[in-house]
Amino acid sequence: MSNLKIMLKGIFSSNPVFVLALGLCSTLAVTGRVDTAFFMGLMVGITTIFSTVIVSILRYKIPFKFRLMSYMLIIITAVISVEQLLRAYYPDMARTLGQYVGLIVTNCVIMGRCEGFAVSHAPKETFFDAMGVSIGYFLVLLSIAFFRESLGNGTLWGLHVMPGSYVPCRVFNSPSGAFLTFAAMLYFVNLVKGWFKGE
Amino acid sequence: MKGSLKNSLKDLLFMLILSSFCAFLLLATRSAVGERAELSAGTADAILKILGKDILPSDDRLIEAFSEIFVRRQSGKIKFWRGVDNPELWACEASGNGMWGEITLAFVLDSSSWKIIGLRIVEQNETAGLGGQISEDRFVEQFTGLNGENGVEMASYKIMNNQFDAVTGATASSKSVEKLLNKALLALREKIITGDMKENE
Repeated sequence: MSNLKIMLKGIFSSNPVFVLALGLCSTLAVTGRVDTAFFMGLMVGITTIFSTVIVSILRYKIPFKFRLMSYMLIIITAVISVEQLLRAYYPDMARTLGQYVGLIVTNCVIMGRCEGFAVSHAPKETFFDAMGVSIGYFLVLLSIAFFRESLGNGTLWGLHVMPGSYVPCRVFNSPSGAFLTFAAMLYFVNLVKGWFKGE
Repeated sequence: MKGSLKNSLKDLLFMLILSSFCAFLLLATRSAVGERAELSAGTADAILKILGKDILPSDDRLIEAFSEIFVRRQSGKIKFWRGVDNPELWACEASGNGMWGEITLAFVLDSSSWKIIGLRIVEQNETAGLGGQISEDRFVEQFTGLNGENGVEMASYKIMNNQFDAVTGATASSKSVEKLLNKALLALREKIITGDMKENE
């Protein structure tokens, strides 16, 4: 399979959120605003690419019975490094994302790609797979945040985009709004998939 | 038996190498970001404002200006910085629970007289219009000149020079500030008395 195909698979047919249903906690938690979703997507992306490529490089060396421990060690290193950089250069964003930055360690997307792909593929293929999955995750986060912030606050990245007469529907800011938006988007994605398959 | 022991040792060696590699990467990141990871722009801005130096929080010189005056002595929930030229000058940032969310305050203290030079609320999520008033100048300016040697006290009538008045209608938020400040003062006092401040952490 070409590298481009591997990448496109991660974005569409093996999308981590809509198809594999991985990393849902953070998806629902940080999508209240576009800026938080952007930074979360970026951090998960960097962590996924770094961790999976390192796992792929070390795939013949990692002892089988210690493989999960080794993945965790690599992922934790990547997450702490990214968290330190975020705290140093974007302290307000680090405060807004709060504990969810640390919880990237337990994000199933990263562990899933380490165990499901990186451990059995070359670093180059792993890099493109991680890129695809990261872009897929990033796009889903941004699209959910787009609807939640615009409908819930009338803003996008803090800027007013809705007409002055628009009354913000605050339910989209709440956790139930996250579930509603996610379910509606999942329905739409599956509908489109059904059309393409002729079902 | 011999082969299994050899394999176990090999696995152990791999894990040791991997752990060392990860620790090295973390140390490299830590030294690359330096003071920035410990010091938020909000705290640096608040402390410099107390000292009468007004630099915009978005300005790149903010952390640099702070590092010229202070050097870090303790990390964690309560952070201390000591004056470079004046070792009696201490800056502190403390975070703790408020009524609804976390409160972060910063203050500067002269340890020779134990006088609080100034205090600012860096971050709070208290009720707007009530507890939120703890960020306002008329509340925080009460702390300027207070004696912090034995902690501060919230009181309706100010008789002693370590007392301050609560915000009307926001006793719980004012009490949280009192508790947090006293915790920080006690920690600072203990560290100075026991003299276990590490010169370089």
